[in-house]
Amino acid sequence: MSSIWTAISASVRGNWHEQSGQKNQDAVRLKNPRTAADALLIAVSDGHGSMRSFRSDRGSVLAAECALRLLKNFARRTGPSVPLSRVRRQAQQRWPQELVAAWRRAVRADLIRDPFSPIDFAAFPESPPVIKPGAEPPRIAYLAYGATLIVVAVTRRYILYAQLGDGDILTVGGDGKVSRPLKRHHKFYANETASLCTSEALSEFQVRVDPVRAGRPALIMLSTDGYANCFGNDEGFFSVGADLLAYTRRHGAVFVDENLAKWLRDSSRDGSGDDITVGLAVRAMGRTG
Amino acid sequence: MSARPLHFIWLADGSGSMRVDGKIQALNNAIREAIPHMQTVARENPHAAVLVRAMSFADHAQWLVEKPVPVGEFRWVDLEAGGVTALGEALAMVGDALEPPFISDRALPPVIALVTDGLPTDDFHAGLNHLMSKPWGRRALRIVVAIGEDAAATEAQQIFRAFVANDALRPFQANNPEALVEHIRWVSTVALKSVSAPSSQVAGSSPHAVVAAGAVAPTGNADVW
Repeated sequence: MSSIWTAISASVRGNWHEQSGQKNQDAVRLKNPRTAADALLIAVSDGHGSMRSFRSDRGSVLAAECALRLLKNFARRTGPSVPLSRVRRQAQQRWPQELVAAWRRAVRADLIRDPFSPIDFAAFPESPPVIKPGAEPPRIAYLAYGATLIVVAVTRRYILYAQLGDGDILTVGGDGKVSRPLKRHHKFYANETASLCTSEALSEFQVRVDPVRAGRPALIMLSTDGYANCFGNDEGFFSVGADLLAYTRRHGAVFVDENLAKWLRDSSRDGSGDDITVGLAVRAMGRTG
Repeated sequence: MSARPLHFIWLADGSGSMRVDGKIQALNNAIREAIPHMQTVARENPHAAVLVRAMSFADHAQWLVEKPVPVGEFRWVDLEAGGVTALGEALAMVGDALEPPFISDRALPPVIALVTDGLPTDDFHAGLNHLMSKPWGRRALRIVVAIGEDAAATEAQQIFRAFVANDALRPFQANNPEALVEHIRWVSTVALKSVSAPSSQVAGSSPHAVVAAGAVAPTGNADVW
């Protein structure tokens, strides 16, 4: 017996990027389950948007697309016959390796399609690197696409959470209690983050696999750091999770879907000024499959 | 909803040498003149709550404004010069002031603006090490405005570069009051605006490339100091 889940998302360009003319550096991709046996998948990525990461809007799209494709494969090959202990092991060891490799392949392919131009590197002391098919690009090439990643996969048997870099995953219980399924390795200060583009990416990945339990959680929220940075502290930020659950229960997931982008725009305007992207997995009440 | 805190700390040299040729008065005038520009930049970016503190150092370091003050309420009180140059002690105190609960997890990178005319007389490196042992100290944008020819000497420049710790960002050199005003205004506006941006930086990378790229020294009048 399992619940039907619904995925919702919205992504808005922050005030800061609207004023500077920069694109939204975030990306989100999701897959809604068609049946109760099907998996719900959400991938959210935040491109760094710094001077050196001048293609990070593309880097975040590539990250979210690679993650969704690999999560689909992962869910397919970890069906009912695979013990949860093996699912966990593969999620923690194999999946991050596949993801980082896939993202780097996608970056290389993008660079072959659209090589760096001298204008791209006008502000830097070095010349733009020439990328040849089959050759490994230098670090600064990946840095141009630098992005973070957070994902969730909800299957019949397990919920997989994974994170690389900043951003937040919150779970909200049916009683409104909010918590973080992933405890951070270490703190990030002042816009600092781990990234898909660094050689430490694999060691920075955090992955957790929980067995599905009745009614828990009722909602999972994935958000880029622009959202949490709108709040003075975790307490204020956590209240968003409880509020979103209350809205979905009172007005339905469609209402939240229709209004989410407006709420995020308001938050960016009155808070961090950064791009904000949110992916929500909402468990339908009283339905079983 | 709330804007992200951005801590800005003035670190002003109040040693006896600053009395020579009106340097202390020029420093007082330059910072006072820069404050309205800081306030304008802060108003233009409602996503950062700029909080200002000020410290002077002579025989000892002491806070002029210890509690972070919203930039709209910040007033510069004239500093008087006398004594030696306890810069190391000042850096250590700034390091302590950049720790919770004085700074929150969601803060933007702090700015530490050092304005000085010469060499420290205490253990500068111990103070700097203490500052850099703090996560917010390491992530701060540290800028030097050096006043006069003594501050241009090799030994002084080595010290300033150690403080800045950013190959792309050189200490500013002010050899007359007009240049001092220009440099301090730059620190108060361009640097402030730059650290207000929400863009992320890969951990371990140089955090202030935008500032470095924009750091153009203004042309000054004839040298006085």
